[in-house]
Amino acid sequence: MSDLDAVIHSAARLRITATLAALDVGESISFPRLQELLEMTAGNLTTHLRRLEDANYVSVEKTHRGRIPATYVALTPRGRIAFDEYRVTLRSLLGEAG
Amino acid sequence: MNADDRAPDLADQPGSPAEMDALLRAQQRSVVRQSARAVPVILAAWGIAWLVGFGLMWLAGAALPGLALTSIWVFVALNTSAVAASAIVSARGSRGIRLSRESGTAAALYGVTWVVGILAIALFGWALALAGMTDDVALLFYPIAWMLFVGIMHIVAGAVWRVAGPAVLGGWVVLVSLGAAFAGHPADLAVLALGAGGAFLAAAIVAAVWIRR
Repeated sequence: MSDLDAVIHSAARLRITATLAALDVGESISFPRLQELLEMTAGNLTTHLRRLEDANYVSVEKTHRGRIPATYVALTPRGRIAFDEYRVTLRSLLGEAG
Repeated sequence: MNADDRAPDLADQPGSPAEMDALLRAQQRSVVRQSARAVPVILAAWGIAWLVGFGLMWLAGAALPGLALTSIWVFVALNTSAVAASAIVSARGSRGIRLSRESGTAAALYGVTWVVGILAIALFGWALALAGMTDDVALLFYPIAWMLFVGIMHIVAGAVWRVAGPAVLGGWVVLVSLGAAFAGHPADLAVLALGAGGAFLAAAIVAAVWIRR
């Protein structure tokens, strides 16, 4: 289990990266919409996003829609690779277990 | 403050590989289902528009000629409502998603193609009328041309967004429309009502059940 990426290997961060990986490359999602899809509190989501952002797995862009501030979140290319590798490692661990 | 907020890491210990794999799959399913919530509403709106709209027009053509004008207005009103419902529900379903330049361009071109197609069919029909198309042939031409276009646009949607459902439905509508064309008027309208409208309503039920499962 030590092969699994520790940044992604938590229930919340795995769900976040899985959700962001569902977007096409170049697409991003607003913070409230991401929160709705994950059914997480804003505080919890912010905490885990910061951890993913520190690892350069996620980009968080603060912008404006008209006069309203908006935050958009996306998986970085490095985050997408890390997520794919996590999935491959997970499957191989399950294969070995089976 | 939620306990979840106070100690997210404590409340979020990683599970076994099997548990994490199950969590990953469940989240991917959840995202797909939440993103697809608009689909049954859109399919049902079009299914009703064609089942009722073409059904009334068939009734007018086959047995109740007094209904002819009313049936056309009902058809136009139902199809306009379906366009509005599709636009509103789709916008709600994709809210908060900022498309890439490529995806945005593809979606905009797809939307414009609907308008181009509708205008092209209307103008082509007008040209055929000027060239001597009879009223009987015109009654066959417009519904079939419209539904062939609808079917082809669904196949294109499947290709652009890489999903099989719309392409299969579109292929079915093309087949039904061609069958309707050979059935002649007014039987074509009954074929379209049941074949296309019925298929969209059935697809709406299947999609709704899949999302709620």
